[in-house]
Amino acid sequence: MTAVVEPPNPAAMPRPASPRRRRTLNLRAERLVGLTIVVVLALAFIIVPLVSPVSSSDISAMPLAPPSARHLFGTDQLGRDIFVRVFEAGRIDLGLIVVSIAVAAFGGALLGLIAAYLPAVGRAVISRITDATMAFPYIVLVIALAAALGNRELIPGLPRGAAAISIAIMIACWPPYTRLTMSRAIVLRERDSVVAARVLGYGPMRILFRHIGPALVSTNLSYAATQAVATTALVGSLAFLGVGIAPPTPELGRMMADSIALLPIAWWAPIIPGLVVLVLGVGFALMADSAGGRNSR
Amino acid sequence: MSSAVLPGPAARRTGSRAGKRLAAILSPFVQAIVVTLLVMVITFFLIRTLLGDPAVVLIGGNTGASPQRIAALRAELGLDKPLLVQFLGYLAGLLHGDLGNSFQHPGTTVASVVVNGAGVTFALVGVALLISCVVGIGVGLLAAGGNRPVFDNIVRVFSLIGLAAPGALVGLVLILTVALGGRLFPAGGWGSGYPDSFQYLFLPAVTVSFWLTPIILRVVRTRAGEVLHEPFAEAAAARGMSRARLMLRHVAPNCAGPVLAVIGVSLSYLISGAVIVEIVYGLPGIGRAMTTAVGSLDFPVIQGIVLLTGAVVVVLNLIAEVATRVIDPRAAR
Repeated sequence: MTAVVEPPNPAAMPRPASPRRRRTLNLRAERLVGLTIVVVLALAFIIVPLVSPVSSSDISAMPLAPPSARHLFGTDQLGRDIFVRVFEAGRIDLGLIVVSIAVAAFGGALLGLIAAYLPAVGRAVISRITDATMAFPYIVLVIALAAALGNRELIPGLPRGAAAISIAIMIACWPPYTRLTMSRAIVLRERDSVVAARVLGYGPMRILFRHIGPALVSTNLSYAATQAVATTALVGSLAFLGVGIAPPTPELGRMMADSIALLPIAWWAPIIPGLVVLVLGVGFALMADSAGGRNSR
Repeated sequence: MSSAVLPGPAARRTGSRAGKRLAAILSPFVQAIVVTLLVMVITFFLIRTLLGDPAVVLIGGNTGASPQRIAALRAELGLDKPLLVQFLGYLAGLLHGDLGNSFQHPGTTVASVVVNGAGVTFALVGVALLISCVVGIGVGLLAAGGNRPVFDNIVRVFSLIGLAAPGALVGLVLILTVALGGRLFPAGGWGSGYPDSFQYLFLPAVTVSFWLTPIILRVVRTRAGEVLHEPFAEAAAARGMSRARLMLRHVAPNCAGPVLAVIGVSLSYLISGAVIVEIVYGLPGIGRAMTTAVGSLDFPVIQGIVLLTGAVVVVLNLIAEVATRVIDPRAAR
């Protein structure tokens, strides 16, 4: 009785003593910093609009005022306070991104887990569908779907256009998780602990969720963070293509797009929302640990 | 023992080896064609069912235009026929190389709109690629093999920002600082043919390359570092070869493979980035053509642009995948 050899686990191998060792510890710190950035921003997005004395649609202030003590980020062309708008917009954008990717990741991983236990035919079908969807260029897919689904209020309560973007992201994002999960699960299936569980009579569902599942969480999470980076930058730019959440709901990309022409006289109007998108993206990138030093040996 | 207990994949016992090799070679091509067709079909039906009525938009909104006029316009545009008939008509036109005429400007062919726009966009992508490669490879080679932490940290920060920054932001900052502040380059717009247009291309190209340069830089730095530790490189250095010559003649060519692979994978991102940057700078490319078409519900133009960009991206991905398989047969699944 020979067990299938697990692929060598780099984390478990003895690490050569090298000056690079410090970098590995920095890596942990990096991911923590990234997570902190995202969490702090998320909290700010929720809290600031709630406690701010100024409403985001209040147009009583002087338009195009530079940042000051009263209006920390200045005002836009309609006299609305940019500080409040930016945080409210951030809440909508971040919520959209996180929910869409989370659903895509969860659904995709689930599909991958199930596929790992199907007979070859079922697996082949799912593989084909996954590959076909992945063959569509990600951004083209998101833009096309979001444009097609348009500016309507698909889900009551959400701003118009939000559901379209969300669905577009979900459809574009799910395939990698299925592929990752499926291949890993197939390998893990042969592991001794899983074999033992099966011999003991545990049903496939239980094996999937309690034995194989948890081992896959970290890979999927880290991939989700990678996708979040690209998606954040993308969502921030969608408004430039005429796609996106309809006004008057504030949205970071839209705030940028609407005030482009004002760049020479009121630089704060387009650039500050962009900076928020940047910081958010950097936070996700640090969480994903794929940018920066990790792969540079 | 494990495979006896658990269900495993059924063994393949049919098909000749030549047949399988042929299928393996053809499969990316077939997939590419299928995807392009799918893109076209899905776009066609989606926009005609979900986007609304172009006739209403063309007549100028719901400002008291009589239903007869709207109906007449719809008939003229061929919108009153059943969807399937419309689609077949479109297909037939495609087979003759006819992409149709714009709804907005009936005298203009979709093909001319698309080609003019594409010319600008691809020029932008081309220059951006050039900048990315020159800077990325140059700095990557410089940074390779060294153990200078300050430099490494600068590269790390640059990578992070380049990866996460939305193209629009980079463009805006560049416009603010370079064009408006330093007055070095125009802040947007387009010239009258080349070489005048190059000055309008520069800042947008730098903006687009912002994302790709750090990636190429890191790839080159890693690869060059590996190559430098190979026996032939160490021997050459021991024999007294100058660092410059070593780098240029021996290390650099070895980096070409990974760089090409990275470029292949990133091309669709680059093109989409270019489209957004175009809009920020007001360049008359595909981005502007697409936004006006979507705004005026100009179906043929929308279809034409989606078809073209989809096809181009699919072809580029195809080339990248084939090239990867050729360079490293192990990469073939």
